[in-house]
Amino acid sequence: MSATFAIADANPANVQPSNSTEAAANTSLSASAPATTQANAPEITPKNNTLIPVALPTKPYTVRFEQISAGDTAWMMVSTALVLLMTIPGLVLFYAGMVRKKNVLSTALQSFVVCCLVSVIWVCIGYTLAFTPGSTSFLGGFDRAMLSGLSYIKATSELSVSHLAPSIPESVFVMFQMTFAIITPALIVGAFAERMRFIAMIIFMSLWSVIVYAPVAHWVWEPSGWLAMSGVLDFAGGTVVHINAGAAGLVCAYMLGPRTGYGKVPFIPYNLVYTLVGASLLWVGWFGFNAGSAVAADGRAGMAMLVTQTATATAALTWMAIEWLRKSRITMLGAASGAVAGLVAITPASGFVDVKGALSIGLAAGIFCYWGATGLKQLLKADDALDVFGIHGIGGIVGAILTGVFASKTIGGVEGNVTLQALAACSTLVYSAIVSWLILLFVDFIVGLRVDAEEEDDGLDLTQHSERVL
Amino acid sequence: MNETEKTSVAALMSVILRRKINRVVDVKWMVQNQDYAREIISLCKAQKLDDLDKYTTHFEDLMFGTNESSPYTTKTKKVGKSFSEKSASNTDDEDQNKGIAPNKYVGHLR
Repeated sequence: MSATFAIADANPANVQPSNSTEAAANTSLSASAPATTQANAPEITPKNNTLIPVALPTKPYTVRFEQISAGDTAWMMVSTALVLLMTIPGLVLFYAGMVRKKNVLSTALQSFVVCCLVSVIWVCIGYTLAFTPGSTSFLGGFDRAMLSGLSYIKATSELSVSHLAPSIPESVFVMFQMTFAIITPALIVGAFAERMRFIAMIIFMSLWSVIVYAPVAHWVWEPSGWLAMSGVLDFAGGTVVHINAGAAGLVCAYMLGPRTGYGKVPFIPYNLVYTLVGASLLWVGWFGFNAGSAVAADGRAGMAMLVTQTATATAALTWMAIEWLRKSRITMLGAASGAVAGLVAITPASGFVDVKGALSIGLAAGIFCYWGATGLKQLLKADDALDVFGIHGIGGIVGAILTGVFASKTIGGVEGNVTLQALAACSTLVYSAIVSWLILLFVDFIVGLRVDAEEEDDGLDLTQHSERVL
Repeated sequence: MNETEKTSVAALMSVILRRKINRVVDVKWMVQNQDYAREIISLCKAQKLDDLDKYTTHFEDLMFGTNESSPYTTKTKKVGKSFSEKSASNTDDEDQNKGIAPNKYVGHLR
């Protein structure tokens, strides 16, 4: 990896190296660092035998092959596959196991289709809106629309890199971020499960990905985004992914209304083994999500991996303990839910906290997300079918705020600010909720959001897809 | 005979009937009452719809085992037999509720 840059990180707030050794390596400018080939690339100017650093690049640029780190690139390609694994099949199984038998296929298909849909949207417009500087701090530009300018030129040994990840090819960075863009709307599927029309889901997800996800990712992760400039910390997407999806999920639940019979008859989950397998795949994939967000195969990625495991296990144990105290039983669904709650809460903090912080965040996630999926759910009176807000929304908020409390300057190079973290959480919550509501109104107007009562009774598998699990 | 399979095929038939001729039928009663099942089978056959005929033949075979030419006959009998041998119960949706507290999953999942 070139020593020219401060650090390769998805989050511009994370631009400090993870420890003193790496700090020295990353901040000491090497005269032998290869020159980049574009005017906006960083350069080193020898002057009286001293090296004077110039401004870091603010948009994607071109470098020579030698400036790419093979180790970082290999890790990021593995991380990308891991994060994709979280959605297909992780989330697909996690959700499919919790719905009734007559809606298993439709629920699974929805997440799968979101994967296909967002992949195309991301390369066409999503990436450029999220990860290039725009004319305002609220939305990116169109420089990379249809990924124009993304290059790999064998003849001249040059390729493009993102200013956020200068040690890996831009193609890998685009793919890595695409998997985040995929899983975020896929999470929302759980909120409107068992009652949304398939065509309405497709239109909603397409619009949401462009109008909600891309701007919020720009705010938080692009250095010119207004929250990034404020110093908000979100290492791997607690705000961008989980609060965002949680808020949209809650609005979806309100807009679609409760499922027929909700609160009166039991909605028996189809197969909770699927849910446990899905949760386990999510857990494994989350190492790509969190440790991959270091955008380097380095010590900070290792710390992110360690705290991810610690917080997840702590949250699962906490959830189980609460169940034992309240119901004298420990459920498999509870253990899986606790683990996911811990994964969600440690996400924004994973590159900033130590193990003590991870234990605390895991404990808080277990408590608050349990309340979110039970007590708060009753208070909100929304049929958030699979508790998207209760776990992802609440877990994201807990993680975002506690990142402000436990962020260690030794690890992340920055200290947290609880007020700023709360501001980012609230801004995302409000923006996502309002815009999601507007999109749903539009979709309802053009195609209708909800299947009719008879179709709902027959199940979406049959009525929307002419298939059924026997 | 596998009640789940009967219900599933009856459900498929009911969806086609409702969509194609706007006729609503009682899926559970089809499985429980042979006279009603015969009436619905007759109705379905009268429609001359290819996809419906396929399910009707299958359903008739499951209910009465009368259609020897049905491609499902052999398979169904084998499946039914192995099911009955392996487990006399726990195959129906209703049976899946056994042992679960009545208010479990009512208005909440976790």
